[in-house]
Amino acid sequence: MILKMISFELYKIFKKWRTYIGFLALSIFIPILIYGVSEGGNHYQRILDRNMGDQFLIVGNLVNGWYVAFITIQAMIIHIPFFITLVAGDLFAGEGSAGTYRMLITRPIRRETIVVAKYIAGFIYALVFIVFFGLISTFPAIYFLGTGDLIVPLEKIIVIPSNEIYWRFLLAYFSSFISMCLVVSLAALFSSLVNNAIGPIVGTMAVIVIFLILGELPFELFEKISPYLFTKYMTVWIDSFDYPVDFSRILKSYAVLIGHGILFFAITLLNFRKKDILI
Amino acid sequence: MEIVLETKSLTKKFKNITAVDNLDLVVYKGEVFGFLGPNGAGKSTTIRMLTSLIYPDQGEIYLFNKKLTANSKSILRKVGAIVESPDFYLYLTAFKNLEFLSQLYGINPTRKQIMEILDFVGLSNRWNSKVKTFSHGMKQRLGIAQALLHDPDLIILDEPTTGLDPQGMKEIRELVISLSKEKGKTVFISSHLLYEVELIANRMIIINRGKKVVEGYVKELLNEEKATYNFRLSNIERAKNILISLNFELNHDFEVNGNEMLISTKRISASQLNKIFVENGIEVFEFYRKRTLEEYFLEITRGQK
Repeated sequence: MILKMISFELYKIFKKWRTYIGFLALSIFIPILIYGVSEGGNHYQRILDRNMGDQFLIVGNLVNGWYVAFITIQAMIIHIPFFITLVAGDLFAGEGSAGTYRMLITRPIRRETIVVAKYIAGFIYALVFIVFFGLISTFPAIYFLGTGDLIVPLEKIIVIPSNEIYWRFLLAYFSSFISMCLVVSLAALFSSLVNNAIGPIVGTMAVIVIFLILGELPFELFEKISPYLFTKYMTVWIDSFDYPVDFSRILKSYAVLIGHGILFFAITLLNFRKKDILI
Repeated sequence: MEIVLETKSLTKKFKNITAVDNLDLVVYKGEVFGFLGPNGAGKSTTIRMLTSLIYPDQGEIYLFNKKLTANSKSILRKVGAIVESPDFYLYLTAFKNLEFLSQLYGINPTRKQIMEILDFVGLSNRWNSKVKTFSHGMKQRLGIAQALLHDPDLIILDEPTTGLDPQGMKEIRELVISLSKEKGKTVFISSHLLYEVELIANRMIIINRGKKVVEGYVKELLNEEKATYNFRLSNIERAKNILISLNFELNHDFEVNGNEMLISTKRISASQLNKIFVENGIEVFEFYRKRTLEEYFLEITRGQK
C-alpha cells in the first residue's frame, strides 16, 4: 500500500502546474547566466589577473563551465527552497483546501502511511529538482564555456584541479539534496497544521530567511545562537569545495539536518494521527 | 436481525459546544436507515466519527461487530461513504480519480469495471473529463460511484441530494432503494428533509443538538393513530362552539390560530368534520392532515425548539 500511496502522491505532485514553476525558473535563469558569463567572462578573467596576477600564475580558462555551475549553486541556493516549498507546502494543506482528506482518510489506510507517503514523495520531488538543477547548471555551461580547473573565490581562493571536480560537484548536489529534504520536512509540518498552502509556503520561507539572517549577524548574541540554527548547516554544499574537504564537518551538518528533519516528521506524524478532519 | 452499525454513548465536543451528545443508535443489515436532523444537529459530526475522520471524546462505535478505533482498516474496507459534498482531485479525470481511490481500498478495478460504475451513475460520457469541469450534481454522482466501486456492505451517504435538481434527487432516491432492495446493501443516509427519508428509509432517527429525539420505524413514527387536521374556515367562532358541543376541549383537542383550527382526534374523520362544518354554514377553504412528528421536525428545523 505504501508504494501505491507514494506513486499516487507523485502523480498528484507532477499533475499540478505549480510543480513546474521551479523547473521553468531554472530553465530561464541558467541560460541567461551562462550567456552573461560568456559575454563578460573575459572582463572577469582580466579582473582576476589584475588582482591575483602578482601572487599566482594564471593559465588557461578560469571562467569555464564549472565556474558557472559553482556560481549557479551559490546564486540559487536561497531560491531553491522556495521552489521546493511551493510543492511541499501543498502536500497536506492541498488535501485540506480541496476537501480530499475526506476521500483519503475514509479509505482503509493508516494515517501514518499517508504521512510517510507524502514525505517520501516530497523527498523524491526534491531529488528530481536537484538532479535537474545539477544537469541544467553544468551540461549547458560546459558545452558553451568548456572545462578546466575550478577557482573558488570564497574566504580564501581555492583552485580545484579538474580531476577532482566531478566528485566535488556530486557531493555538493547531494548536500543540497539533504538540505532540501529538511525544507520539505519543515514545509510539510506546517502544511499538516493548516488547510491552505499559502501559510506553509510563507511560513517555511520566513523561518529559513529569518534564521539565515540571524545566523549571519555579527553580534555576540547571534553568534552564540548561530550553531543552534539549522539554517547554518544548510550551506553544507559549500564544504564540498573546501581544501582539503572536511568530511567530519560535512557529516556533522548532515546529522543536524537529518535530525531536524526527523523531528519535524515526528511532530507531523503525532499531530496527524490525532487530527480531526473537519473540512 | 444482524447489527451492522452501533454507537454507544457517542459524544463529541468542540471546545464548549457538544456537537454529539451520548448518541445511541443501531442500524440493521439490509435496511435503509435515515439519519435526520436540522442543519447543525450533529449529523455530519456523527458521520465523520463513523468514518474515522474525527475521533469521539466518549463512547464507542461498532461496525460489523468490531470496535472502529481498533479495527478501522479492516472495517473501512467494507464501507463506502460520501461525507458532505464529495470533493475530488480536480486536476484529474473522473476515471483517474476512481482508479486511484479504488486502489486505496486494495483493489485494482479493470477499465471495464470503472466504466460500468460510471455508466451506472450516468457519467460514462464524461469519463475522460477533468473533475474541475463537473457540476455539483456530477460530482455528487461521481461521489456515489467512488462509494460503490469496491462493492461495500455498508454505504454511508451524508446528505447526498444536497444541491441536486429534483430529477437528480429522484434518481439518487431510486438508487438508494435499489441498493437496498436489489443488492442487499445497508444504507445509512443523512438528510435534513423528512419527506426524503420518509420516501426511502425503513427506520430513522431524528437528532437535534447532538441528542436523539426519536428513533423507530418510519411508518410507525409518521402515521400515528391519533390524527391532527388543520382546517381553514370562514367562521372560527361558530366552529369552536360546534366542537365544544361535540365534547372537544379547547387547547386540548383543538387549537385556534387566526382563521385556522388544529383539531386532534381519533373519533371523527376529516370528511366527517368537513361535513359538520359545511352543514352548519361554515365554509371550509382548506383542510389537510398534519403529523405530530412532521410538525415537531418543522419546529426544530425552524429553530423553535
